[in-house]
Amino acid sequence: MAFGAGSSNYMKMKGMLKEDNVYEGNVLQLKGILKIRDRSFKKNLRVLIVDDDKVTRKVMMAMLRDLKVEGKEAVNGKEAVDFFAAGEVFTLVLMDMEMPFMNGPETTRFLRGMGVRAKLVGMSAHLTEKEQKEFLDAGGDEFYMKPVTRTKLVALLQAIDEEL
Amino acid sequence: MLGLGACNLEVDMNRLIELLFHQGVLDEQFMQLQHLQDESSPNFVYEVVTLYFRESEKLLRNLRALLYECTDYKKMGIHLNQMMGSSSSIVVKHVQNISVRLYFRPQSSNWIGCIQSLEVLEHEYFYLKNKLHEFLQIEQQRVIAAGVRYHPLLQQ
Repeated sequence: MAFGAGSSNYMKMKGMLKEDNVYEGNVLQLKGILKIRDRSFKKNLRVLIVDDDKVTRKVMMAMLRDLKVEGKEAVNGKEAVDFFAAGEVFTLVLMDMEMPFMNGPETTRFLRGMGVRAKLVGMSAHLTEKEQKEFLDAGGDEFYMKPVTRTKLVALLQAIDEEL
Repeated sequence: MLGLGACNLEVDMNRLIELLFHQGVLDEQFMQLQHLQDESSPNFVYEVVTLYFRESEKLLRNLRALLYECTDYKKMGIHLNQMMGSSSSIVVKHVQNISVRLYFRPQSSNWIGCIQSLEVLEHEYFYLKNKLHEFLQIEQQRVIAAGVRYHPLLQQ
């Protein structure tokens, strides 16, 4: 079972997670650990979720609402490009790699070509080096394996918040 | 007693989730879904799980059709990528892992192997669906036992 760095450290501290990340404990204890204290951000962050999968979009939008961060969703790369072309501004774009019409690297190349300076983070459920390289070479900033957990999302938003 | 019934059902629910954790079927991402359920989204887990079922079954039907009718591995890859993505969001590890194996199988051009992998994927998916249905039913009973007058689930 994989945990984010924050959860892992906390659980190791609590003596519930062995060094090889094997979870020891029961569900009620796990539920308590996952109540991460509320985060707030200094700047008005705006996030665009680009993914053709409805479940991913629903979960990520709910996470953003929970963190009180404004979010918008696009069903594919073309829709994402259309938002930027219409003058919308986002601080972070979380983008799936394999999508119809315009995939992650193609969308990234296009957005950078338009002069978009938002942080572009790729997501994929199956990480290959080739895919990662293609995305980063196109102008992407970082690459995460799905699921993008709340812990990872908070860390990413905090880093952007501090940079701004 | 009303309160005692709700407590017992909560214990049943936690036991079921623990079982699915230990089987490696679910992990902490599922707990994160429950964390996202609150007064403003009282049905969030039910909505996400139901959406996952609907989308997954559509994808599985499409995969079967693609394999038997035209063996379009590229389109299969797109569907499998979606299945992997949605499974990872609620985290159903077995389904995600099997989807990954099936995603890479066409590269060795083994049609029989693809069919076998698809059957394993379908089997794992339907096992998961049964368990999650069980979870949702216990949750619904727990809410009734706790004496909630209005619950959106009951209106359906």
